[in-house]
Amino acid sequence: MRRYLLKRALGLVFPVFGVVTLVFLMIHLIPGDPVETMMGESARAADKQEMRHALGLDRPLPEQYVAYIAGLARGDMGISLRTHEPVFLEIVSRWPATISLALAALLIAAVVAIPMGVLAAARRGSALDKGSLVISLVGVAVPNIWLGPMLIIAFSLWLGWFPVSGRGEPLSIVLPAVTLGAGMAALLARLTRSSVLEAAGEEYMKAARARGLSERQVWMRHALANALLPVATVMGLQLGALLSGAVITETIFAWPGVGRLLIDAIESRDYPLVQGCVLNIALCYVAVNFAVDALYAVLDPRIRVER
Amino acid sequence: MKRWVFLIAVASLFSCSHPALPPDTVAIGMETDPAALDPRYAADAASVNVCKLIYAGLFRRDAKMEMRPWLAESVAQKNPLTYRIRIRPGIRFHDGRPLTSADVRYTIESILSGKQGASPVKSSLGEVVSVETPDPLTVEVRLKKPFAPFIRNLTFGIVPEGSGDLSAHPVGAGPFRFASRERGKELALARHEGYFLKKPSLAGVLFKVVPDETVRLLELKKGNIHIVTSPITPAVLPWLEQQEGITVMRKPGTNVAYLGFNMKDKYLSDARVRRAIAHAIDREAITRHLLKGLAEKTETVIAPVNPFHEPNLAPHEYDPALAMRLLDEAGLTAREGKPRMTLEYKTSKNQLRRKIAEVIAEYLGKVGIAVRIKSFEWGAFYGDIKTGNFQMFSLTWVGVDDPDVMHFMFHSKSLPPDGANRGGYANPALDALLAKGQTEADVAKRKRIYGEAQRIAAEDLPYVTLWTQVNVAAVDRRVKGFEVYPDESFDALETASVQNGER
Repeated sequence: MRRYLLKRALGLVFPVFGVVTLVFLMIHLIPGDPVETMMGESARAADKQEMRHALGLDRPLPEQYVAYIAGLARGDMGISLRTHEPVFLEIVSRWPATISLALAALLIAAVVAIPMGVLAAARRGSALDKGSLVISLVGVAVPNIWLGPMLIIAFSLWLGWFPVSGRGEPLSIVLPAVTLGAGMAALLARLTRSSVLEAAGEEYMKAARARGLSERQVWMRHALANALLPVATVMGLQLGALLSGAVITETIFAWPGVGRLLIDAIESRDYPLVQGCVLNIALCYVAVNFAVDALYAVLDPRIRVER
Repeated sequence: MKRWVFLIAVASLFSCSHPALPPDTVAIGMETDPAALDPRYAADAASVNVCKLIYAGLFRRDAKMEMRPWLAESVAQKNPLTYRIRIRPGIRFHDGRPLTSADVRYTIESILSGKQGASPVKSSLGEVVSVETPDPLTVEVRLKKPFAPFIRNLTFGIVPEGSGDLSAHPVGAGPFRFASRERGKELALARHEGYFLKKPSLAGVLFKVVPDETVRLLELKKGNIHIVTSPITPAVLPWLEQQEGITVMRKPGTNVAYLGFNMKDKYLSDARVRRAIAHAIDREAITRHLLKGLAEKTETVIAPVNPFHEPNLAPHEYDPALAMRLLDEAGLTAREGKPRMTLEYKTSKNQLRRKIAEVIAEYLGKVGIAVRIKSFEWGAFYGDIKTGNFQMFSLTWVGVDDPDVMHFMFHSKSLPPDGANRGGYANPALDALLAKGQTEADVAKRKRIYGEAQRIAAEDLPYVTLWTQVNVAAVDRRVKGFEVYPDESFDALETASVQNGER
């Protein structure tokens, strides 16, 4: 088990390194000048050049890259060009908002989707199954950019149950989490249904029934337990995506998370902050993938003995 | 039940507490978080406007764009190169330190040295040779060569001597002091009890970052935000005006939208073609229907609200027949089924800018000019414009104040990267006037010089000036005394008040 996890961990170093390199090149190659953003167009060319020199932006790209990687190795992600604050602190200050929103959205998605998927599978072809299909399709089809404002109008303006936007009182997380979790719930419900149906046709289900287990026990202990493996994988991947910041939802609900930080950084061509945010995203994905792999190894012992 | 209690407890952990708005506090919805809270380094509009509340400058512009002394008591020009500025006595910074000439000297010198980072203000000061402080309330600035805009540009906030980058802990002498900040979420200011002018009625100002415009307006409707300012999409104005308890205020601003041309282009180098374009576009119809009155037709980049605006310019009225005659004269005759010429029009990805481009393309199509619209992500678009990689483009000049900006736009020596004459325009008569305007200290004479410069630009059309932006603010009726400023600043908060309680 330990060897398996070590092997997986080592395999994750290269994707992170690749992402960091790729983003470094991309952000420097796209048009746009951070110095122009910082100083305004009316600044004298000599002053802009002086600023570029002070920031090291006039050095050859390979040299800048080596300096950046060396900084990362020391745990230094650089200083934001826009706010002059350390990039690491800028990102860390946004973590609580992003993590809380991601977990709340995932929780809402799981609480709604898994029972709905199981029930739809158990009552295959019934009105309940068809109803859940319609709800899932709507959930997948409705974009967050529409759903968010609609939820605000209904639940904040008309009913007055939740705050319109911002991260403040406890209830402020509900609407963004529902907006973010809706699409995911729809996807998970369909996946749970098909996985449970697949598991239902397996031999061990017959065996369980033959052993005299109740129908509830058969479904919960055998069908669901086996069906949850692909569901856990998808949830893990979704969590990775959520932790890297939900740009649209964060923007609609004025939620000060990592996604919005990245967008602001790109718009102002804040190279160190963009690189820091992307590294954060890569690490989130890698960490979640690693956790899912580890979970797999726990759930299915066959995986860890494979070579 | 226990599970629900657990869930609520977890949710409570995730969210921090948010106290209700304190009494006498105005909340303002902002699109972006101010990047720098140090007046020397503030470049974006949000930072500049917030800094003006925290830091007092030597001068400031009033609601009519006229210069008014602020920290300064008087100013005298000893000779064309030397300015002597007297500071009001008894002024204190928010931390209690007295504000003296040494602080003014330090602020100017730190801007010029750029030791703590380059300042966007630097180029507006001309070439400063020395800053002397003969006594604690007098500053004497000597320039290398006469630079008439110097005084009009002394509007940046003064910081305490020895200050590093103050963004994290701003200390100024303005009407409000920094109270707290949560990046990406909100910024709170509190009244400066020791403010040297009349103390503000408001106990505080809370800037709430709400990036989405729809949500900003919903917050306003709900009463959580008191003021939302430009940009407001013109299409939402009719809805906004019907909302109870909300007043929509408008005031013409200093931002001017224009069509820029590449003077090296075989068609656009001909002034008749540029004039034809000006006459082919019905700007009044666009401002009325598409921009819902949030713009006013103008003929010059110096907006009507600016004291240097020249009001007696011959207007380019919508006249497609005249436009076609001008194109015929330029040898661009219409052939059956084929356009006279095809122009590439570059713009940004902004939805409204694209719509404007489409409408302009349609008008030009009517006189036989085919237009290919190309819209790009802002960085790519702006990069092309700065390097002269365009035939025609549209942009907006923001915050035009001193008319010396025309030197930056049109002087033949102001080519990028040192200037913004992106189209490579050259007109010796205009060059001479713009050079003269830069050194002429007498305001009346300057007005005449720039009046003539605007007349030449309006005839020769290095730009087709489209319209001047009308600034707009949607304001909760509980707020009294708020006013929209031409430069979009929040200076009116100094004298505004708010009625507490429900709307």
